Amino acid sequence: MRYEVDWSILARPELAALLIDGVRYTMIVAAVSTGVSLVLGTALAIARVSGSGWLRWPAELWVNLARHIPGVFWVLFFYFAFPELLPATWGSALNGWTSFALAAGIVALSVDNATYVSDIVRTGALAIPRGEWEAARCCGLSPWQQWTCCLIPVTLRTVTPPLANRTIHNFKNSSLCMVIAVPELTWATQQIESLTFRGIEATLVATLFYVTVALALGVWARRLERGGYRHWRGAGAVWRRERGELARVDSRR
Amino acid sequence: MVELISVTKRFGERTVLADVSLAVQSGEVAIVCGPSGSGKSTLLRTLNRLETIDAGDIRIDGQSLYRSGLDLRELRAKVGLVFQQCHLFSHLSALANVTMPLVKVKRLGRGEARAQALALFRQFGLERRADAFPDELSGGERQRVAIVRSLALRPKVMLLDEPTSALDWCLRAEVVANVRALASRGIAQLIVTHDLDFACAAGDRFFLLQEGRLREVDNYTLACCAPEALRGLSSVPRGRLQAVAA
Repeated sequence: MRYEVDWSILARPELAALLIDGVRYTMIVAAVSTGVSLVLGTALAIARVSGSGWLRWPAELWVNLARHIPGVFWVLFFYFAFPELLPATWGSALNGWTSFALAAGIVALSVDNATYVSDIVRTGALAIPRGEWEAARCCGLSPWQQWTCCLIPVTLRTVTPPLANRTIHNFKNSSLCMVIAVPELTWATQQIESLTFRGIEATLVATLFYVTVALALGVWARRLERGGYRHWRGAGAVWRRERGELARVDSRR
Repeated sequence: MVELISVTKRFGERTVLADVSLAVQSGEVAIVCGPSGSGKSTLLRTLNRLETIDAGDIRIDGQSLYRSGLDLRELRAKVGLVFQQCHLFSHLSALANVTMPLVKVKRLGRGEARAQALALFRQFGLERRADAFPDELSGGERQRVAIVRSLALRPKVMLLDEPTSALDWCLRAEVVANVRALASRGIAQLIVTHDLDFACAAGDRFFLLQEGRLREVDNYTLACCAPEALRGLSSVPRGRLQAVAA
């Protein structure tokens, strides 16, 4: 049987609304889980390179355990199993919460992605010359300041390409949340297929969306990488402010 | 000001510093020379506790670095260390390399930190390079920015590891002037170098470090009279040694 593509179905308000909501939820899941996993992964990486065994070994154990577990497992775990592990009242409260599926999906992807982010950031941190670590210590910076002011910014520049790849991967992984009925884009295409028996149109639109966003992320990452720190907002602002200051100094001469 | 008392440092079986004693007063420039691998850099690193010692004691301003309750951050702000490779923070401009520690460690406001840093930049002839990033600076400029970064924290002691290794003869003279200027401010300096011309021009006291042992020499001995002691020093002019031997 030959399938005839009918784009007009996507113009039907209820189906268009499903797709638009799907895009919205996909972006929310991807953006929030990427942000959380960057923070969590960086914290794990710091723990893994720290001198304290009390921090290093639990972090190593966790990362080595967590990265061997499939992403979809985490999604199912946080949605179905996690509420059961809590005291009954808390579990019921979570199950009754209307946004619980969304929250469980975000937490699951954050945990899954954080293990990989941790490996990437750790590699970058170990690539920083020892002298730069020592220079930070010699300036009298506290360990926290050494990381936030010196080591993390330098590390992030080194690991921009693999982190960008991981971000794209995490964006695509947002589709795993369909298994717990988060109304993201892949779930929306399946709904449209069930309602109309016409899946190709919505699937093609979803594919186009995934490819476009992933390509845009890739281009942005390459620009960051090529432009170095001057394209980074914080460092760029410092740079511009100092340029202004020097221009004023010169003009006074 | 700086006092090393019978300091011993071992790496495994190897004794890098053996019973080393040394005192440098305010405004004094002590130069330490010695063959590569003789422990010169380790000696500097023990002075701000980047390396811990196995025996002996180190005192700065009469206070032991190994007393209980020592604030390492305070110590490191008091003891400036300029590395051989400078190790500027590559993500920050030259000016930000100096202002960041001032803001974070000395708790100065950003404006005040910038003003102080720019004053030092002008003093070291760097004002036009303040917005450059470390990879855009020449070796000499990087060295001066590293010195300014340490100096901005108003240290009482400056430790310089091979400060002329990346510099041409012209900039070397400039570093000599800078070292003397720091000395006139009352800053005690301990400088490790292979560069004997620089050492003789900049130093007040001279030491040779060989096989972990430190001995004080005069500048004549340092520059000319102990070829066997200077074995391994790459920058000893061959002609000078031959002339002395003759």
